[in-house]
Amino acid sequence: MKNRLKVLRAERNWSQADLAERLEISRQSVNAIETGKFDPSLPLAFRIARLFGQTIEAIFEENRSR
Amino acid sequence: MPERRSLAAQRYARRIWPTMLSYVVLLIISLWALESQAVGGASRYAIALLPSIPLVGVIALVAQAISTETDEFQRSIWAEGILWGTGATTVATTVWGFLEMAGAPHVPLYWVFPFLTGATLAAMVGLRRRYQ
Repeated sequence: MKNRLKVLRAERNWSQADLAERLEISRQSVNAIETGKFDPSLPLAFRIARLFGQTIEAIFEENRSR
Repeated sequence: MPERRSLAAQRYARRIWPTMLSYVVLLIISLWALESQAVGGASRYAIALLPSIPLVGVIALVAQAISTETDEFQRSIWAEGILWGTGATTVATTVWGFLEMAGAPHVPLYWVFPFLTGATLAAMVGLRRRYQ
């Protein structure tokens, strides 16, 4: 799923490891979500949204062609 | 930078190798004892069953690792890896069974478990690489 995680992270000068620590997940998970290879569960998506103070839709983009 | 591993993964990594090692050691001991005819009667069955203790232990460790893993991505790697490992093992052992009908050498069933372990590990390594 396409998303703006990398941009949001860069705006805050956070590394993948920084974001992983804040979300209490592994760095590999952050990488897999960021590159769109792994879709987070709804609870994790909410945690990500809350961390950046945005809505889920503002961060994740639904891939309608699938 | 050192990777931070989840508690579930750390506990699994700490316990899996001694358990696997005891499987190999008990298997060697039991094979040796049975082949040398050192024991007879019903105790042969007890000796033969020895390696099944760590075998169940390994399965329990994997089950525990998956159920206590809080990182959903890591859990999906586990689940998908086991799926691939189980599939590969089923195909390989069944196909070998067909080949045995044609005269291929017999492979004892206790090789199923090491094969399953190896296939699952290989699948997990491949999956991690794919998600990188």
